[in-house]
Amino acid sequence: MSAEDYIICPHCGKENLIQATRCIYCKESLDLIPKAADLAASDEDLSEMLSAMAEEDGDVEMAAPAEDAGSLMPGASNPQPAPIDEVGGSNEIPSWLAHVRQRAQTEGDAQGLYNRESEPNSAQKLPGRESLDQPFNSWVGRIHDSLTTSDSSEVDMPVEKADEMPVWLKRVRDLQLQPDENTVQKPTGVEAWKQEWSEEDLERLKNGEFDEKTILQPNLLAQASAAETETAAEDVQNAAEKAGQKLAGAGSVEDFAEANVGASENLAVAVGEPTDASDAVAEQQGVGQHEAQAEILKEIVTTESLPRYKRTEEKPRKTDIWRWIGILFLLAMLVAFYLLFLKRPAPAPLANTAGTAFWNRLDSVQTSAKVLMVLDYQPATADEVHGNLQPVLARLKTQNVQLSLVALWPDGLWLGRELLEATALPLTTELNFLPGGSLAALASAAGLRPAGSTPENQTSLISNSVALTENDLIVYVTDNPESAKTWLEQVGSFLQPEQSLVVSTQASQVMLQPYYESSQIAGLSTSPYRADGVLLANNPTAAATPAFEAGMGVMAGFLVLSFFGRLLNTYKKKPGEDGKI
Amino acid sequence: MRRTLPVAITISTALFVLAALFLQGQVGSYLPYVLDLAILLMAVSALVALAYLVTRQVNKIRQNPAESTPNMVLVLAFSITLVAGLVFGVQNPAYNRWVAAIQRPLQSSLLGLSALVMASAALKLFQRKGIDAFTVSFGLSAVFFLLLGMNTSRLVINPQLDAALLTLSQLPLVGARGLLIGISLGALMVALRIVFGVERPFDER
Amino acid sequence: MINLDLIAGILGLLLTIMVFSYLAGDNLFFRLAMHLLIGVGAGYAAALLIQLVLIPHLVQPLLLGSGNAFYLSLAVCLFTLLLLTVFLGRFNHLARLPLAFLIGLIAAVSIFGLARGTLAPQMLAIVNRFSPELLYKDNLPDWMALVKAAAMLLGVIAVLLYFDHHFSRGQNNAKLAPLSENASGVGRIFIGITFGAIFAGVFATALLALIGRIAWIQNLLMRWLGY
Repeated sequence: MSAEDYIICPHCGKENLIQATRCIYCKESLDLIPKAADLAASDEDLSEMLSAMAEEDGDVEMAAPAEDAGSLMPGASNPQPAPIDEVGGSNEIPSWLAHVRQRAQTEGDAQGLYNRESEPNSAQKLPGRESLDQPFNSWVGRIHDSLTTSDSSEVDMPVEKADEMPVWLKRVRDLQLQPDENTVQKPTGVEAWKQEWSEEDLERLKNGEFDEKTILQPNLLAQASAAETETAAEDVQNAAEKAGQKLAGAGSVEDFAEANVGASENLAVAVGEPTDASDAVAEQQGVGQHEAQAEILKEIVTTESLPRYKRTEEKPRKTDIWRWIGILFLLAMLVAFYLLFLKRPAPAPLANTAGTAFWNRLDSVQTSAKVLMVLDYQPATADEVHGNLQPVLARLKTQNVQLSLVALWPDGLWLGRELLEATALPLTTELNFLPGGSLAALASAAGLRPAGSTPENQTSLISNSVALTENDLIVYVTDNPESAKTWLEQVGSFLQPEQSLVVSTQASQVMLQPYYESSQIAGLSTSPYRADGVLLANNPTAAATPAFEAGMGVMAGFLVLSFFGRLLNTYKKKPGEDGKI
Repeated sequence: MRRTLPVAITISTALFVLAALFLQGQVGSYLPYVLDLAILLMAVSALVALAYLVTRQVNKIRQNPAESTPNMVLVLAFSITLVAGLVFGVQNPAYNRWVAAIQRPLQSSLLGLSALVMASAALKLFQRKGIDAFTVSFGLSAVFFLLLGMNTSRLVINPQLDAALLTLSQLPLVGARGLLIGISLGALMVALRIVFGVERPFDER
Repeated sequence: MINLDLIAGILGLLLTIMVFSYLAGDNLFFRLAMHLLIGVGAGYAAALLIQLVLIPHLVQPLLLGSGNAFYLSLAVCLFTLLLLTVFLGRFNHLARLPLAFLIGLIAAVSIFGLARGTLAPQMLAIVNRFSPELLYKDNLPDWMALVKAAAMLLGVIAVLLYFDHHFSRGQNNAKLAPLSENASGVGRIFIGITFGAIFAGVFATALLALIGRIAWIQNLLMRWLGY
């Protein structure tokens, strides 16, 4: 490497690559301008250099070195007039500068700072500064050089060849691997063999009479590694003791991890790297010992690092006794009320405008009118729906209407048949299945006839299998408010309000009431009662039975109990199942 | 092309149906065919879904025959019901009675079971949900309508009381109307997004 | 002669007991009952679809029909084939075409139904409550009717505000103005009242189903015992 390929650290004076921004030795910033503290120690050189610079270039006016060793930059913009040097007179070059120049001329510009061109910096480039940069850099370089050469024990910089290690790297390794002055340098390689082997042994080896591994190795291992293993063992022991103390003292997982890492680091340092002094066999023995030590450490770490689970005893699951009490109480109430109050007459229910309107519309149906009943409910609610439908069918039967039934669900076919049997209507009553639900009735409700179809020759489509608009009254029977909503939106919007009646369950009462209030349907029936309180269906499942009343009362009681139970918990400041007080 | 063609079909179908429903006229006469096409397609899809259900049950039986008794019952019940329906006809009274004898008790019992479950849940309602405006209004309203459903609560007949009870019984109408409008608005937005091609439910991503 | 009623009765009783055995916890009998329900329901639906839908409206027009019904059946077959490509790995993107058709149709029908069947009538119903015919009784203002109409309007607005607040808070954790916050709280109360009423109705329906089952068992036993 030439002098231009590396720079001198201003702090420690060591050489660094030119691309480096921090010194690899002292980690300081590689600033070409040395710190003032460093220069304060070399006032003499500084003053000499300054005077030498002034002598070299009489036009250059440099600031006198401050006593507090401030920045060497002679002012960013305005070079101060140089004070008259007391030594060299007003116009003479200071002696230190002369000294610098002399040295530069004799020793050459090793760092290239003297002849080095200043870095072009347009921001700081000022007219007249070019003439200052070069000599300034050169005497700074001289200062570094002087500091470097005084500390270094090596006089000459070794000349590097292309295939050799760089000088700076050599220095790094030397710093790290400085052999102890007191250690005895063991012979290596052939020399070691020559010292350990006698002529007789060599002959035997030549004849193949030796097993090196079993005979020679222990001796060599013992001798070659004696010095090193002693020290290594001591280090390992110390590190293990420290690790043990740390492990014992670790109170938490984090402490343990930290201690573990620290312990392993100590051991790694103690184990160290095989030095150049130990031979291959000793190294192998050392590695084997280190491996054994590592195994021990690994075992310690493994056993200690197992998570310490506290064995939690499984708490016996609390049986939900209140649930069982509630269920049994409800069943008992049902049975008791049913048996005790079976024949008690029920009072009239609260007047329901939708129900009243339903029955008024039903009463107004003309004799022989065409009535279509659309069945859209499930077998689960058949008991309630049939209880609500039976009085309707009985009324229609007395009016001698032309009744036809259409099922929108597959189960509607046999449910419709049951309904006809229960109301003693003729089983020849038309009962069909309409696939597609509201979609199938949409075109018919809109009065759309299929293209190419005439009244005489109708195209057989699902969409025109039911003539909705030809019916005077359409009774839609459902147990699901969503189905009713879909029907009323898609089909009901094409029908007149007086054409539509809805029979449903009590579950759908709330969500279907708005449709009655907005006059989209003529009436809504969700109970077997008329408005005047007459029970229209003699049905054990009718809402008048005591069992039904008992069940409703028990549920209301449960809600009240739950409310006061929570209030009590709040008073006792006991959190509920949601975690809040 | 792969992504634009389904969107184009969706938009064109939707526009056609809307034109047929709102404008009717010549366009409306083709709506029954489109609706029939959709209904038959849905019927086929339903059959495919049922076949898939049975196939999955059969696979479960093959994988673990020892613990597949309920799956075997399902497959057996499906097979017998399907074959009997195709042979005797789905409107055969004896066939209907067989189906009714199984469906009715099972479905009614399930709904009755839910009554017991609701009763036990009511005991823990406030423990789980706490006491706030919503739960108190829910509880009060439920108790009021439960008592109103019990005709025993009307042992005292008073016109003023009846009028007050009637007015109170109209309160849920406010919430129901708000719910209907709110849900309808949301559903309308989604449907419009589908028609405009913004929402693509059939897309893989 | 086998008494079919007796068999049906025993079967119904057994199935009812199997379902109610769930009260003791999930068990094999309950699962058997559920699988039986699904199996019979699926088989019945499949038989009905084949016999009453596909054969008369798809197969017969394809084999015997002519004119529009034939072409319709052809179109259905084509769409069905496209739908079945979902099981083919390479061509499964073709299954999107019939699905796109169905989705477009359902979306259009929904738009029509929602706008004409729910939104417009419900909003008109709120507004019509303020009509003079309803607010005047015997040429005198009916304050009760006015209060009810105003309560309905404000209540619905509060409920809609609660919906908006619920969704906007869920997405952006947004804070509303105090007035909107209070109004949405009132809306929440109205929704609570509605849900309470729905709960009472649903329980009533479920209770009636329970009573119906118990009554059926009672009738069956009475019949067997000769009462």
